[in-house]
Formats: sequence, C-alpha cells, structure tokens
Amino acid sequence: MTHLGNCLRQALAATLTTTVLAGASAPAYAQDINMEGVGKDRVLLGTSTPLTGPVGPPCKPVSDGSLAWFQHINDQGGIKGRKVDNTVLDDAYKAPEALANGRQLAAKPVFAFFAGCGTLQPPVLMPIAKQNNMLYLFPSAGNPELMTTPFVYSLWPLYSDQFGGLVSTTLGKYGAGTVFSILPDVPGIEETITRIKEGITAGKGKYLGEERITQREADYTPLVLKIKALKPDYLIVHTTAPATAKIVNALQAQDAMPPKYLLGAATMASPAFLTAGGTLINNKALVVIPVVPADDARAKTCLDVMKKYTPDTPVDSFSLYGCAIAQVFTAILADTPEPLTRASFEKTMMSWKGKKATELMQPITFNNPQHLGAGEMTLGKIVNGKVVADGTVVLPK
Amino acid sequence: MALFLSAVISGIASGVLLALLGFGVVLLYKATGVANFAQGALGTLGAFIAFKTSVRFDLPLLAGIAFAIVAMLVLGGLFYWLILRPQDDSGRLNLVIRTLGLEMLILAVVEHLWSAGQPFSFPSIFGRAIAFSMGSATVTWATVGIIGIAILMATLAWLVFRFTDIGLMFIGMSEKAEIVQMLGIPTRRLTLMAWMVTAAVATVVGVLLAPQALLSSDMMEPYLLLAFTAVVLGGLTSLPGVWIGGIVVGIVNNVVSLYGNGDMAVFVIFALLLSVLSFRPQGLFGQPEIERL
Repeated sequence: MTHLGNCLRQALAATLTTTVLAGASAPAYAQDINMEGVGKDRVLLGTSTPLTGPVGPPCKPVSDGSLAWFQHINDQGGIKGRKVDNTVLDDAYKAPEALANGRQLAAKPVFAFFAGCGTLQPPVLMPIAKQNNMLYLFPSAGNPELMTTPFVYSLWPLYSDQFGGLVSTTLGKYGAGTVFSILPDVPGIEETITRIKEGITAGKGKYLGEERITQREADYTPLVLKIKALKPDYLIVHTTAPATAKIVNALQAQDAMPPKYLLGAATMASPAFLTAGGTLINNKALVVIPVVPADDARAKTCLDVMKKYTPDTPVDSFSLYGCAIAQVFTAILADTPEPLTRASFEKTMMSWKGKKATELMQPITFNNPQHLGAGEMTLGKIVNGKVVADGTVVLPK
Repeated sequence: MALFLSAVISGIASGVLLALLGFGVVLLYKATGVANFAQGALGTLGAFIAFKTSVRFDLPLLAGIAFAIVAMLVLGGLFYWLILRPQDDSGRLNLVIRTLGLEMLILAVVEHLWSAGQPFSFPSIFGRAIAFSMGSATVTWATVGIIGIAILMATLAWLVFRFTDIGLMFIGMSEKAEIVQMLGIPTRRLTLMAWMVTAAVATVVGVLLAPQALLSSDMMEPYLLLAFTAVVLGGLTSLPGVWIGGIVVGIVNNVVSLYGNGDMAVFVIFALLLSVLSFRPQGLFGQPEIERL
C-alpha cells in the first residue's frame, strides 16, 4: 500500500510538473493570436524542412536565409508593427516527422506553411493545409501537384520547366547542337524529358537520348563511355551534387567532356558540387538557378543580412533563395491592407503583376493557373569554381 | 567491339580497386579468421585523416598520407584492444558483429567531425593526366598507379604468408587458434598486429579510391558490397582469389552497365554472389572447411 501510495504521489507530482512546465513554455503571445495565426504584433509562420539527414546540407541554408531576413525585418520593428515569427522544425527528410511537424504547426495555429525543401513534405503538408484552410507558401520542391493546388503559391518552377527553359535558352544563345541527358530514375521524369525535347526543338537542336541513373553507382565510367561514343555537344546532368561531381570526374578521366556545355540545375551551383567538381568544369557548365549568384551586386542586401544574423550559413543559391522568398513574403505583407487575413493576403498576391519584390529574382506574377510567381530564372555560368550571371532563362508557358 | 573493349579495360581498373578493398578483408580473415565489416570505414577514416592533416597543416598530400598510415596503425591497434580484445573467446559470429558495430561507430564519428561541406575533391597522388588510350577508353596515370600499388601489396602479402615464420603463424592461427596458442605462439599479439596492418592497408585503399569516389563519409558505400562479392567469389581464404574476384566483378559491372544500366549490373552481380554462396561456398579459389567427425 505504501509502495502504491508512493507511485500515485509520484505520478501526481509528475503530472502537475508537466502541466506547470507546459504552461510556462507556452508562448506568451498565444492569447492574442487569432485562429489564422495573426496577432496585433506578430504573424506566425511554420516550416517543416530537413535541417539534418541526407538533404540537410542544401536545405538548411534555405531556412537560414529566410530566418536572417525575418530577423532583419523584426529588428526594424516588423511590417506594419507585426514581427514575423517563423517556427522551423526539422523533419530530417522523413515523412512521419514532417507529418508530426505539420500537425504541430497547424495546431499553433500558423498563418501559413512557409518554404520547406525537397519533394517529401508537400504530399504530407498539403492535406493538413487544406484541412485547416491554410496557405502553403513557396516550397522549394519539384512536385507537379504543387502547381495544381489552389492554396499553394510557388517561386520554385518544376524541374521539367527549368530544364525546358535552360535548353531552349542555351541553344538559342550558344548555338544549336546535339543533346544527351543524364536523369534520375524517379517517377514523373518523363515530363522532364518531354520539356527537354520541346526546348531542343525550339533551339533547333537534336536529341540523342537519355540515361536514367541511380545516385549511388560505384563507377560511372560505362555511362561516360556511352556518352563518349555519342559525342553530344551539350550534356544535361540532373542528379545529386555528389553524383554530379563523380560523373564530371569520370568525364574528365575519359576525356569525354562535351565540346559545348554541361547543363544543370541548382545542385550544380551548390557548394557540395562546386568544392568537389567546380574546378574541373571551368567555363564549361551552365546552370539554371532561382536567384542571382552571390557575386552579383543585386545579392548585396541579403548577403549583408545573412552575414549579420546567420554568419555560419554558406552563401549559395539555396541560402539566397531562402532570403529571397522571405523578402517576397514581407513585401506581400507590406502590400496587404488591414485587417490581415489569409484571404486578404492571397488577394494581394493575386493582384501583383510583374512586382519587383526582391532584387534576387525576376519580377513576380502569381496570377496564373499554377500560382507560380517566377516566369524567368537566372542563367549562371561556372567560372573558377564560382557561379556568375550569364543572362536569364525564360520558362516555358 | 571497341566499346566492349573499353568497358572491359575500365572494368579491370575498377575491379582492381574493389580487389584492394577486399584484400584487407581477406588479409585479416587469413590472419585471424574474422571477416571484418569495418574495412570500408577504416579506409574512409584513414582518407579523412590524410586529407584533413594535409589541409589543416598545409602539408603536401604525401606527408598527410604518411601521417594517416601511421595514425591508422595506432588506431587499428586501439580498435582491437578496445573492441575486439575483451572477451575475445566469444565466438567468431560475436567478433564479426563487433566489426559491424565498429563500422557504424567510425562512420558516426567521421560524419560528426568532418561531413560538413562534403564531398571533397581529393587529389590523386598520381595526377589526373591520361597515360594512354585503348579502344575508346582512356587510362589515367591514377589507374596505372593503383594497379602498380595493388601488384606491390599482393606481392608483399604473398611473400609474408609464403616465406616468413610470422606468415605461417598467422595461417596457423586462423585455422586452429587453440592449437597455435598451446604451442606458445602469442596469438593476441599477432591479432593486434593484423588489425594494425589491416587499418594501414585500408588507409591506402581509401586514399587511392577517394580521387574517384570523392571524399565523403559514405564514399565506400557503393563499393563495399561489390568488394565483398569479389571476396566471396574469389574465396575468403585466397589472396590471389580476391584479385581475380575483383577483376571479374569490375568487368561484369561495367559491361552490363554499358549494354544495360546500373540497376541491371547490380542484379547480375548479386545473382553471381548468391550462386557462388549456394553452389561453391568456399569461392572459386578458397579451401573448403573440412572437419573430422
């Protein structure tokens, strides 16, 4: 009986302690935040993103870039007196964690799901956003359903459109030629192939075919030998940064670099690739990136802010993209009339036509069936291990 | 035909690397009777030590590699003392599982300490220039160097096992440890030496492989299963067998990848592995285990 009594007393004490601690750790502003995640002095955003795990290295800089800009705005008093409170939760690129994060954020409640990185979260977060009438803003992911879901607004075009635009722009600028693609063996890659072929047709080139690869092959030499036999003028490489670096290594070892250009997306502009393979492709690679390169004068504001608030964040197209989407969010916030609601915010977004909301991106228009703000992206060239601006890429309509 | 020849040549080059990785496994197995699943992690650790030492102290790469080999000799001994030595009469399965644990431990440490910013470009000690071409395949000086080192290491191992007392003691220990112990041979000291040597060999393999695989905490992953296939194919007790096994796996992998794709190559190689395990468990050149009833 004494033992049972002790157990009961301990259980009661634990329950009381937990309750008190839970109360103490609850945000002080919880009382004045409305059901849409908006208060008089702040607006709540929620992010589930991989800060750790296999895609942590390119994804964490995105949220760091956003947090730096929000901190900068908050230190200046916020937008119309409201500070932006962005809760970032790590999902380690695992669906169960993303689901738990999504539910936790929706319960706060947050005004919108903001950013996120990778194709894993959107299928998990979209149903939660729908159920809670939330907005889902600016995820950097390649899911086609993001473009057909009404409450999702994006600044990250699908890879199929990025490559379609990159190919037609490059062939137009650097001359027609033959093209071969190395692509990931993932669902939906056929759409990318279709867009690439359309881009080649527009650029009066010829498509030689593609090879679908896994990202963890021991030796890419057989693939490179195939490419060497075909002798393409342009070679599209769309895979992870480490695999891209290994392919470039094999291309160099087999003396099989394409005579014109290697073509890639943001992963080819990431430090993970550039530190390992950047020097091997000096002046031989063109990339399509969502923002201007770090060396461009237009990146100065974000660079200064990141240097001040998140100095350990690598400066690359991912962290700059994070800063850029935060700038777009605060610009919409500034344009939205009071009272701030999800509906009024959405109405403001839809009213933008070619809005210059950030120096890092081309003018933004969300009023299209896909709610895709970016109609153009930056064309970058890799020179001495760095990306320099080389024009713009017009995305297919 | 030229393309096929190119795939065969590149397969031999790739197979030598696999064989080098498997060589360390066979070396330790021949000496101690334990299949070491931490071989890849030891190589990764050694390559990282070489790279970080070279960068941190602004030393030539060769100096970094020399330091890493010495460091790994010490660490190999330490790993044995701390992880394999306690209760070392718990049976071979127990020891093999400890090597799996050691692998995970080493990789976790490497990941924690050095993974930020990986993969890293690792310079080849032989340079990246093209040595000669055969068919449409080019062979770099790095490949020539790898083959040279492989021949050197194979010859050294053969000489030690064939002509020295210590080699004979290792073979005896791997086959009948209790009897060798009764004869007064210091088996634990020999095992310690075997772990030190195998860690140093793994470092050489890591340093040779890193320019191609790029230095990262998971750089050995795509190679490990292929290397173990080479070991099983050649025979776990056969040093010449691992070279032949490695070259066969390398050629099969590259030829099937060339005419099919990477997935198909993995399928063929593991079908080969399962066939050998099912129909000739001792491998092509290994000795079958015979016990007196």
